[in-house]
Amino acid sequence: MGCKEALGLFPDYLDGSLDADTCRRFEEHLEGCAFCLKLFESYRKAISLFRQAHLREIPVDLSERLRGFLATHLKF
Amino acid sequence: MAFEELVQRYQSKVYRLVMGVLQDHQDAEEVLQETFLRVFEKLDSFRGDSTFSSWLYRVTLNSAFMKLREKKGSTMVSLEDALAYIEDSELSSSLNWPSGPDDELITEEVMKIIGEAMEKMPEDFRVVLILRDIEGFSNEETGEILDVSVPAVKSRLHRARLFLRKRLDEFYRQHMQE
Repeated sequence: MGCKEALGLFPDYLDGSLDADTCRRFEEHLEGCAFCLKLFESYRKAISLFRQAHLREIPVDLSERLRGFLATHLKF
Repeated sequence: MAFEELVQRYQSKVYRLVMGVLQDHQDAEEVLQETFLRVFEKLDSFRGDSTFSSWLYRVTLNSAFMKLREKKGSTMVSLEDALAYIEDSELSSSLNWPSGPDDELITEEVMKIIGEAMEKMPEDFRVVLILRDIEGFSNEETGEILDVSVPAVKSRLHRARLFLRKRLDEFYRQHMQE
């Protein structure tokens, strides 16, 4: 497996949706290619950091204004 | 479920999505309000063919994209520019990123880099990133919400993640040299 092919498989590998043979070839490539391994690790870390940065709740003041707005317009 | 309870349950999800699309607090608040008004009006038309959250996201995105169209041309990065940047980024790094738990790496600077990357990303990419990586929808569910094919979802997701990775990589490259 070449680097370009391995790069294209990052999402499916993380989803666990690769077939057994492709999964094995992907992992073998990463074991033997320090460059792709670093790229994959940073790809996975970028997703994790993005999740942590964006998994935020609605601000309390905005939630209160939304409740007020809907109470006025829908009378609940 | 009472409507008030429904708002309580889904308000953060709708907020994350509209902020993700619009990248503007004031616009997001307007669309948030408008979305829940529409949901209230259209609730009877929800037939249960899809999950409620998929339906809710479609209503939300309709409102968000309508707002976006009103403002189109202001600060948008073209798809072509973003794609050129992403293509350029794919195989450019051999840098070791900082090790350690990810929650310790979320600094204000990193939050800022991620926010800026989101602003520069085309909205079609941002939406996929949020639906897949934040809200946890599958490729198939995301395709259904956005009315695009699964290969299109997968392609946008991969490119959006590479775009984000590239921005963070540039940040760490600069940061770790200091």
